[in-house]
Amino acid sequence: MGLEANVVYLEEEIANLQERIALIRSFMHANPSVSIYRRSIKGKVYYYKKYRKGDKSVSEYLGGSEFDFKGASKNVKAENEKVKKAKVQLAKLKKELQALKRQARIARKAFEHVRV
Amino acid sequence: MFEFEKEFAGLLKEFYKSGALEHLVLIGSWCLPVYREHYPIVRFTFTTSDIDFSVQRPRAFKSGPGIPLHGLLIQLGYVPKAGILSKAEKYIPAPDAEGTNLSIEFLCEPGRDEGEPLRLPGLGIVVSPLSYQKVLLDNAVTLTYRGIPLKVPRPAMWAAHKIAVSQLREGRDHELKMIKDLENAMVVMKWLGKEKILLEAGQFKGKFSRFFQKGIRLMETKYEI
Repeated sequence: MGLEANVVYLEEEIANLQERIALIRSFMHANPSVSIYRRSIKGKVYYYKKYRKGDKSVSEYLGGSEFDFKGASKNVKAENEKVKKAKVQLAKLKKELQALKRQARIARKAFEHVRV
Repeated sequence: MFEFEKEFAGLLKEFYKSGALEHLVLIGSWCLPVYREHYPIVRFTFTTSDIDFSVQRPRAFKSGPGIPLHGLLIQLGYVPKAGILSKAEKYIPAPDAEGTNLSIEFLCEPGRDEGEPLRLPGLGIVVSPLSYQKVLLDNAVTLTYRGIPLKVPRPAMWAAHKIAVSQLREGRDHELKMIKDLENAMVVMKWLGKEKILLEAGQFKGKFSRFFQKGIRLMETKYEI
């Protein structure tokens, strides 16, 4: 394969990875990791969910003693698992992107050198 | 490309099971691994995660129900990603999906007055019109890839098409992209010979023929064929 094709393939792959990274970032922004906690106030139990929104920590009231804590915890766990997988993907893709950028830089340099 | 071949084969298998492969023709660089299973073409070393399929008779899917291709892709761990400026869509790996790396795009021959991406409720996808798809669609043959039958353009026609469309490249790095197309065509030309490709392209007239002639002249100079 020639230098020109190599440059094109690498740059196409870089664009693809950048697209995927942007998608994962927006997914993580829209689906932050959530935890559910309960507070006892004067003998009554109240449930809240807690997550980060930007720099702030947000607590949202979910319900009182009638709240289905087990069911909600199960859902939260499943959702958090997705976020965890996305985080792993993001770290992997970032590494791949760096490596491809390095390769593309070398390929373009070689191409420019040959052209001159 | 080799690193994605397992995923590619898995995708084809699911498309085949759903019946979608009957209506799709694989185009683009991913035809080369399919050809390589049947023909003595040289080993190539490039990597691309973009898979392009062309939809045969897309207007037959303008109303549902048909084949839930969109649902199948979602199930397999891909999500649609729309373009920023156009309505064009391609499927990329979902944020929480593991082991998916490919991007899948669906194309079609532009209609008489339709240059815009076309939503096909029958398949649940959006297809992007691209010039000269008909050349590939009308010359499709069925080959197997790892035991899965799929439609691909005849190799000579695929190479002729690559040579012609290389002259339509626009934008940044259009020259590099053109050379990439010509190099892909060279993979097939080295096996089939120039005469066979000239013969195949000879049946076309008009703009396509002119683009092809321009491309082949460039190849003659660059690769001394």
